[in-house]
Amino acid sequence: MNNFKLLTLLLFALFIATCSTRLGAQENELCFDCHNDPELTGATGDTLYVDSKKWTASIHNRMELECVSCHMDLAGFDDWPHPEHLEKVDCSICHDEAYELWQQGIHGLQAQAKGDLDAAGCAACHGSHYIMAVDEASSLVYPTNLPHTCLNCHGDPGLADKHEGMGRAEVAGMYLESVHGKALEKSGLVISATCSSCHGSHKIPSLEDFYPRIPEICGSCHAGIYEDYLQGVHGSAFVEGNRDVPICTDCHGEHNIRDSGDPESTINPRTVAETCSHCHEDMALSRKYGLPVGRLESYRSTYHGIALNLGDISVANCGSCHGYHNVRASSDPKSSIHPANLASTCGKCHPNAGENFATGKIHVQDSPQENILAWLIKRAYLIFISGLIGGFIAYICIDLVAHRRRKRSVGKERMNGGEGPER
Amino acid sequence: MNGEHRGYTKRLVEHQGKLYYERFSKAQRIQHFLLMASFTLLILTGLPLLFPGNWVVRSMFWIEGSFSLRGIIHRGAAVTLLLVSVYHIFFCLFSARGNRDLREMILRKQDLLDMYAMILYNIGKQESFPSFGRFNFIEKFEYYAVVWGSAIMLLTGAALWFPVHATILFPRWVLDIIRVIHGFEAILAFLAIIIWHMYNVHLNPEVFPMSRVWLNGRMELEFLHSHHRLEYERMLTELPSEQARRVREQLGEQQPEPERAA
Repeated sequence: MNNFKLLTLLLFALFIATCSTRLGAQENELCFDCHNDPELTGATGDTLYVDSKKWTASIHNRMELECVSCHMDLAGFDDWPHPEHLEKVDCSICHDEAYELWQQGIHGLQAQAKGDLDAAGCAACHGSHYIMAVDEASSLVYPTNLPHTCLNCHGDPGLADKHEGMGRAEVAGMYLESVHGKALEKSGLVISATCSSCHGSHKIPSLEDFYPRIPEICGSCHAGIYEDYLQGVHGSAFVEGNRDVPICTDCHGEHNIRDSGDPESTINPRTVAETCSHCHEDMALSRKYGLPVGRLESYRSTYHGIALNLGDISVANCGSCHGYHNVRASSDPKSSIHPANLASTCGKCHPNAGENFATGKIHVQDSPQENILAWLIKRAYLIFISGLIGGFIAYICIDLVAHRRRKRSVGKERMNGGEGPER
Repeated sequence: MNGEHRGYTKRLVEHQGKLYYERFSKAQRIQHFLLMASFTLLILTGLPLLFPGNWVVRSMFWIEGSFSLRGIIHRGAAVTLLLVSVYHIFFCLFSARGNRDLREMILRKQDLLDMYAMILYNIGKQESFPSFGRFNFIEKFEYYAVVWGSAIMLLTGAALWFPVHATILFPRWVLDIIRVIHGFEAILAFLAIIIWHMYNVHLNPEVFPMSRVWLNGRMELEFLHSHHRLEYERMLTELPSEQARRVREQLGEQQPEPERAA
């Protein structure tokens, strides 16, 4: 008897369990009866098609969610077909954490405060019916797909023009040509920085909030370089709140960061001098911080500058002597250009360079204060050369005129008195 | 003694039945050729550094690695110039030809007077063309310019080539001066050659389109007679009488012997 009761109970439980799952499947199937038709459109002509196969593959189906789990206003509905207008799906019911973060980010703020319907909501990035888990390669927010997902809006010139703060459409597109973008696109290096690596995902900060954190954000991958940067004159000042000093993006670029070997890179040996000069040739900044001027011009007039200008990239550029991330003032004993360290800095390229090798001004300008002898010799040569060449030309002119005159007089003699001597 | 007639018997050469004055021996022509070749390469590969912003210069180096090649050619040509210079020193000291030519090269007060006379002649204040020796004042000037220029360029160039070694001897700011000198001396040499030398051996109506001395070493006896009168006369006195007679004969001059006999 007991056994019979137990068996009945078990069978009943099994029936209930089977029924309930069947019930869910039954309900989705009910929806797909109409919505699995590619030609199904609403009154406005929008497609109402939902591909049941793709839905089946989605993470929500695999997590055993049903159509009505999201389209909750249809739960319990049985008067098919349902009215065309449905309530907007509210992801926050399950994804409350992500929703809160989104609300604080630039997309959420725009959407709420300004009622901006263009601002990205959940579906803009994650998709709707066919959402995959974020670590699945077919997810719209999987690293290799994310740039294209973001570029749906941020690469659209129409939208970029409409919304201030979106940046120019080309700028975001440059990412795909950058060293990060190429690593992702060409090599599928999914740890390469993609949009969300720097900008975040749900809570995307505005530029004002983002800017002070840039070195730290870059440093989350480039940790050693970040350490170096903090030690240098630029990084330490930035940490103290100085906003004139360069941060990573000022030298490397933002979306268009390229490998230093790439000729289009801002830190390629050919271009780095110009990049440094954005600040170091800036009169206002030079005056404000008492920086020496004429650095670019004086560099360009050295052999290093000339050779570089004509295509020899092996010669010293700004960074070769001053360092790159860890630039220090020459007064700092740890600086590569501190007088005590100059010989070894030069020695990196000029083996055995001694004390003498680095004595005297490096960035020599053509002025009597810098190197009086060089200046005087230059002037003396200019005077001597112009005098000598002037003398040559004067002599040649006299010679030519004289030659012409003699030729003419010889001709005349022949014509007038040519027969004279014969007689 | 006059066993070799001070080298004049060797200077009188016969070519296709005609007598010529041998201005440059083969050794001298080779030296001149090497000097010319190395100088040209040095200028071509060096001068661009003085005008790095010029578009002609920039277009010279548009091929990857061409700038490094420039350096190699420049140094190679510099070594050639150094070797020619060293050879020339030995040539002047130890060969009969070089030694005699060097003695003729010595500057004299007469050279200043010659220059004055040449200017007088050119402005029409003097009737006759001045009588020059083996080397006139222009040629002497050019020779010393080359000697001076080569010495300066080789010394300063060596310092710039080996800056680390050079700075054992002096501080680096001296290298900055040396660079100024190397550059301006190059401009000076380039302009002197392109204007002065090219005029004297090419564009001068007396030799136009080109004096061929640098190719075959021969100078027409007529030219020697008209432009280097003293050298011509000296040659006649130094040459054995038979050869002197042939020279006069070729120029259609009176032979002095019959007069003396009479």
